[in-house]
Amino acid sequence: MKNRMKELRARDNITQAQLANLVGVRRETIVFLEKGKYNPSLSLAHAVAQVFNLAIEEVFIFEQTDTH
Amino acid sequence: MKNNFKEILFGLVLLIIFGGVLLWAVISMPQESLIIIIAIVIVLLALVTFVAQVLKKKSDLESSVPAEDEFTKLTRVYAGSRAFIYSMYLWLLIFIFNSAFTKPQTMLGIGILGSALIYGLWLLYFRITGDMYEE
Repeated sequence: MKNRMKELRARDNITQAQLANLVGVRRETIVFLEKGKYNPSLSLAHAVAQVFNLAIEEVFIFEQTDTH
Repeated sequence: MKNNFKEILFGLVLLIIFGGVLLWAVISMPQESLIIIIAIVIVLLALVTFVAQVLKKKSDLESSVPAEDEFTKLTRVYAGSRAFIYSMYLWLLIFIFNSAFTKPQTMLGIGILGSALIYGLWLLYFRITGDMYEE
């Protein structure tokens, strides 16, 4: 699953540590999320989208090839 | 210091127990010195890891970072499932080469320590790379 987190962080001038603090996870989790190596839970995706004032599908881009 | 009292006490109790067992082993079984040295190294590594974890947890709590989150919990699940499969291979190898072991205790010890080591290595791998999803 691709996402726009890095781009949106740059737009809002938020560091990875700040974003991690805002959504209540470790910074490493944000790193792996941005790299697309980790698919977040629905609640974490919702929390991240809320930080950027966007809908989940505007931050996380689901592809047909993504595994369930 | 006061916040870490429990952890420090737990560490000291572990050190005394393991230290006592190892001292007893060195005195009572001088012929098994190589195995005892390996056990000492493993115990020391475990203690160093334990102290490092306590210090990391302390610094995380001070900076209000959660010690565990959904990613770290998932890495433990994945590491556990991979370690289970690889441990089966280890036990299979141990039973194939069982004639190489003089005592059943050595065989069991290697199997148990090996399984723990496999779990630790997989956990480290997933925490570093985050490669949990197979293509």
